[in-house]
Amino acid sequence: MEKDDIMLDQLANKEYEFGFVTAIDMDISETGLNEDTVRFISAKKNEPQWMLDWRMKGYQAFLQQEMPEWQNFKMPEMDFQAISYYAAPKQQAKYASLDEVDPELLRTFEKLGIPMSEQKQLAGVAVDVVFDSVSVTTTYKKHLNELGIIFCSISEAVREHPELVQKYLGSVVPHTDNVFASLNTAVFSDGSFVYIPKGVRCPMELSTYFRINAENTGQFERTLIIADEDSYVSYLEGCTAPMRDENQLHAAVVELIAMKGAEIKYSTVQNWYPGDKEGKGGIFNFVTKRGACRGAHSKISWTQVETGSAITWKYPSILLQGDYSAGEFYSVAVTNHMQIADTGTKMHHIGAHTKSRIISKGISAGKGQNSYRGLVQMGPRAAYSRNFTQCDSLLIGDLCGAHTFPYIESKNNTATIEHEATTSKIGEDQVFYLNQRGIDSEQAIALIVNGYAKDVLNQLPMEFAVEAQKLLSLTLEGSVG
Amino acid sequence: MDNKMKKLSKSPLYQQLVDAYNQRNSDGNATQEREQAFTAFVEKGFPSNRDEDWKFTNLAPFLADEYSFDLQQPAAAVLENAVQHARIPGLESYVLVLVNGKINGSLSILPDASCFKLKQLSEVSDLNYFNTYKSEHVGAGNRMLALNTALFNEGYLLEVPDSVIWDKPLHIIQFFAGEQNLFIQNRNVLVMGRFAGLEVIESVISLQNGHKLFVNNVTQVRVAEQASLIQYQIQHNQAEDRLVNFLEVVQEKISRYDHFSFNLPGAELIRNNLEIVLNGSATETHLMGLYLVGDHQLTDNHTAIHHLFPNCDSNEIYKGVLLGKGKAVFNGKVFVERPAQKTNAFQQNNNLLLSDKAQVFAKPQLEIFADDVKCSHGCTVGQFDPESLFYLRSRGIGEDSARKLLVEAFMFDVTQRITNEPVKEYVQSLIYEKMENSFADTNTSVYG
Amino acid sequence: MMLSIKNLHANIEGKEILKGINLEVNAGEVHAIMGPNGSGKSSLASVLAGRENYEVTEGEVWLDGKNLLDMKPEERAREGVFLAFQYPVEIPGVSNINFLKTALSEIRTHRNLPQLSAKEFLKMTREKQELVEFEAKLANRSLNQGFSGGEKKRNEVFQLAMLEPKLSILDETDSGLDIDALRIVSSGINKLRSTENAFVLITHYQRLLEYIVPDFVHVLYNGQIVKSGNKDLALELEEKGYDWLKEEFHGNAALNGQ
Repeated sequence: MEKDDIMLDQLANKEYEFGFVTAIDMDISETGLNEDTVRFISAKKNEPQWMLDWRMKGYQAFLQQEMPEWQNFKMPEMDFQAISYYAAPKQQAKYASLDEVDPELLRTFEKLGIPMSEQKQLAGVAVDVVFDSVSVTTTYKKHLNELGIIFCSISEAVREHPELVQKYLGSVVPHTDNVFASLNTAVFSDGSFVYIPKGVRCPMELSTYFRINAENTGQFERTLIIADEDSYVSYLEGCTAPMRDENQLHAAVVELIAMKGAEIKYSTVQNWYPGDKEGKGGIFNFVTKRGACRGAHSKISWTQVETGSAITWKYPSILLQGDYSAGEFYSVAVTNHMQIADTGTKMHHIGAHTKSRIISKGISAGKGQNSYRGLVQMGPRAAYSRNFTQCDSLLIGDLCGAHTFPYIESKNNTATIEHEATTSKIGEDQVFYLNQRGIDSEQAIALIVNGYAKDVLNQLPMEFAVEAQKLLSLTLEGSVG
Repeated sequence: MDNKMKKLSKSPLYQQLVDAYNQRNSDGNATQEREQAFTAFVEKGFPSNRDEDWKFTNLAPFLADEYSFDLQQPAAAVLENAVQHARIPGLESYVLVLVNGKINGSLSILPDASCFKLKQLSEVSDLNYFNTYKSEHVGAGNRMLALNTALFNEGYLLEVPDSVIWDKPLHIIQFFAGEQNLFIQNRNVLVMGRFAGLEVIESVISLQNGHKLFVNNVTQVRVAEQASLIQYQIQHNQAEDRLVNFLEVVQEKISRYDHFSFNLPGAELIRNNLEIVLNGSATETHLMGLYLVGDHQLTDNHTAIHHLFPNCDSNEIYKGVLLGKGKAVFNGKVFVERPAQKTNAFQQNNNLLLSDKAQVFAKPQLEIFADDVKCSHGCTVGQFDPESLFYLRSRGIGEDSARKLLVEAFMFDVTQRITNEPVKEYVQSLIYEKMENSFADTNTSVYG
Repeated sequence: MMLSIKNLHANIEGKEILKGINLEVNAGEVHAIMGPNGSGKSSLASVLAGRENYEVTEGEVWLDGKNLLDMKPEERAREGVFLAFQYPVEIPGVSNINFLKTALSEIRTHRNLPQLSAKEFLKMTREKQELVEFEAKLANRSLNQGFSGGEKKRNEVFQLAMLEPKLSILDETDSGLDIDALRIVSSGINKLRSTENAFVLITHYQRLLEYIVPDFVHVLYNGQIVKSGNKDLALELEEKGYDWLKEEFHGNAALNGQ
């Protein structure tokens, strides 16, 4: 075999290291979806009537929606009746302290490298852990409470802060938005809720770790973050799942709301199980993420590193409503083996003097297919607004594909849009240069890919950036262009 | 909602076309190709905004008018006059005049008979003749193309034999005339033999006297090995004209094709589909477009380049200036298939919005399946750079002149590539004339 | 008197940059305006040339008895104000020659001078290029595009020669020039000096003033002219820097209870 082929082969044989299953007593609902499923979930969570009503509206909308057809891959058959919509570790009560948590569960989190026990915790990260459908624990709660910051599971928020939830839930992603958002509305099990009061800068990164463990379950978490006037929060999201031969559906909804002068930074490192190299198994990641810059001078920034999932279908978007509001989208998406990613962003410039910046770096290897799909829209009132988009694709090997579908729309003549896209491969001369300086090809590739993705990785908080960098190198280990 | 959409796409014209097809093929002798195309059209009707490729171009208002299919031969004097008027000042060229798709020999000026083969398409006995030049890579799902295939009745077949290089450009002038609103579908075939060379300038002119003209035209071009073709498409039409064009170009190895598209204010609707198939290695392709879109006009350019073989270069620059309530759509697709290694594909689309009522919808699109390629696209939408405007004004140049200079500069990337001087001057003078009128109109509203 | 600036105040984005400038310039004079970074030197040049993002809040500017502040940028240019930009903009697609022809023709129309024939224009171009030792090929090249920093500055001086303004304001024309380029630019400007025109040199360094000897030197600080003198002032500044001036200024301000 040629050297290149050996390396590509190594790459192809790279295993998913988070593929273990945790043996825990689970409370799992019957598979299938109907009105009773929705009632069952709502009842399990002791929800008030208004919440059940809203779920029902979501369910009705779900029945009327069609599967989207516009993406750059054939939508797989999805049997919504074969999924169990609720799975939770059996112990029901919220744990008073970590000692009460099932030790098996704790060991899982340790394997995942999640800083759950506070001693081991990386300084300054408060973590909410969602295990299958239920939020297990939230750390640092007391400290945050003192600042008036609410950081809890969304179920808890429904009980404790109904006025906030009722006011904002579904206000950015309506229950009719798309088939997956409607489904999520009907059956979402848990997720995180954050409220930052006026003028407060959240002193630590808030973080949620999602884990799908049970078989034949879907994960439908719902995240709602509200940053009140002149506040700031940085939020991190990570996720893993066991290796299974069947595809599992992950259909989350994330809503961000930034009031006047507020800033939300939302970072994701998505490492769901991508399936094996023949494309068997893996997570279907169909996620709706949207933020609204409601107030003047507000800012929302999405950063994502997408390395996992069999299919990724997500377009974190921003509604730039307030004048002088700003939106950012930084993305690295890697597809290897048979992975498919159709991802990008939508920037809706509604207010005047709004700004947006999009940096997207796609990396395709193996037989992976990577599509950037983006919309930049300047509305009639978006005077003096600006967008800059840089959208690059890197191909490694000649069996993969890179695709770019930017939609650019302007209805305001004082607005400016700039879009650039390039496609390239890792230059032999670059690798040779590094070889000549004593760096082997594998390391050279890692260096080059990390350099290529640097603009995005730089946006991640420190702890995440290191993890993301490792993940990138691992995913692409041994590939030579 | 579904039914409503269907009604829109099935206007009275739809029924007229169905009847026309059935009447014409009542003896059941339609070719299989026409049958298939007709079925494709009948099932879904005219394209609507629900079709991705027609998302921003709504044909419905243009299809709602009443149209006739009856053609009318204009008076000889009218024609002669029209030909004189259509010629490009200072351009020494041959002329091919077509009236309602029929070749007019007496008004045409052509070179020695050994230099070409020219036929009326309806007289080409083997209808499959031109189908051999058709590529399976293009036009899938395009129902305007299907409609043309089902029902086209006239057009020309022009062949330039191997190794023949014309000494002068050819100006093809197509006239259309009827006594009522006219819906017309023609098809033309242009074949460049091996090592052949030709430069073509195309004009489409309505002699409709205030009646509406809807042209759904298809042209198939084949550029054989080592041949070269330069094609200028000048769309300088009247408000009543609606032009839907489908141009398919198949290039064989080491051939070169240059396309210039000039869309000037006038026609309410211009939709150009340009599909290039690079069916051999080491080809060179240049697509250059200028669209100047005036008040209440819609100009839509859809281009696609299919790279199928290695070592091909394609270079595309489309530039648009929008005035008044003008609306422009640009969609540029570049496909690089797996075998097409060492492809260089460059695409650029820039838009200048000179009015606060104008709109632009752009979608530059890359689909790459080969790794050793250099592909890039850039797209911008915006205004003049205020710093440039200030610099020019600080040298004593008035605002209007400064803006004209900057529009000229904006278009320079394309105009500098026009090698034919009379054509360049003609197009530039048309642009200035249009700009002049438009600035006079919009001055206060935009810059006041 | 050619130029008269009285109590000129100007804002940019709501921030006051010029805080009461007074300056008088007569035909035949060369004035140098010096001052530390951020003192308002370039802002003064921009306001005189009519850059639109500056807002004049108070004061007057007269050019040969005409109110300059009432005029659009191009009218000021036609009246004879020339600004040599610190950072000349590149305009791809606008050829140098076409640009100059348009500018010259509009200025000559304004001054009731006959238009030049193509031949005359080319002759003038050649002569002026020689005069300011600017060899760059201008035909077929876009305005300032592909020009080095030094070439851009020399192109500014060449335009100055072509357009024959009354009042030339040179905004840091010396910055970024090596010693040879500085000598060439300066000698070009010296050749263009006459009893009919005047120059305002904005500069950070005394270096330029060794080549173009000014009649007056003014020090701009914090939006005001805080000191004026003859060419010796420039030498003094070169020696002592600007710090002593700052101290003096703030000292006075303290005394005045500001």
